[in-house]
Amino acid sequence: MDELQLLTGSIADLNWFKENSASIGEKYEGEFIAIDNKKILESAPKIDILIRKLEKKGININLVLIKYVNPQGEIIIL
Amino acid sequence: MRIPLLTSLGEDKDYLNNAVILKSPRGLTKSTFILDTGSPKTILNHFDARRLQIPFNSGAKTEIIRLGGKTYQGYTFERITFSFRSEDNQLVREEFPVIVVRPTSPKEEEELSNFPTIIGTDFLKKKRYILFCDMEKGIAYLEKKEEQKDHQTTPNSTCKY
Repeated sequence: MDELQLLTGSIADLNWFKENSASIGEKYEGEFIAIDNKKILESAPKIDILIRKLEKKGININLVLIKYVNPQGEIIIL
Repeated sequence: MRIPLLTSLGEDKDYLNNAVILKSPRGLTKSTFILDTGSPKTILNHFDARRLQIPFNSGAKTEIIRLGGKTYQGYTFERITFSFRSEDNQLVREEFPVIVVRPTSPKEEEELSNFPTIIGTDFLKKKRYILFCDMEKGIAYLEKKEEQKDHQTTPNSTCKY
């Protein structure tokens, strides 16, 4: 898969995350999630646990979108 | 040439952001970024740095970086390529030095992973991008300065950097 295809998939996944942020937030608040092809493949409260879960499934961690789901009522001010 | 930006990550989360492919000499990874005009520097997310196998202290020391109320030593890493998708579906590659920050404990490492990759105003300045944003309408994009043709097409309520 070339870079443009990877990026196009990521943009679609990010839009999916945005459109479903309310329901994702309810279920996964405070967790890291791995998204690919508009599906949540795995989740974990810590990034290292998520990596281990993905690697155990044989998933390349560089080829999935990893997002942190902020706890309800919390926003990140950079 | 324009690079579209999303203006939200969900309800009441109005960040300028999008997906990006990051490349280092040791590999590439899918990622996302937030464009932060309040940050003078471009900072790589800690987990992205790990995925790209970037050594945390191989580059020159930068200023101390304050993130989320804590301070971290930053290091410059020169060889990162950002690949964006333009509105006409082309790949736009920009090589740009980033700052990676070094955590000093597992707790700090976990906290740093919560912060996204930040594209700062240094990127806009050195790569000659103009930022247009209309948050109300949900329209935002970066446009290369030399390619901008018609200022009058710019909406009235825009930000320019």
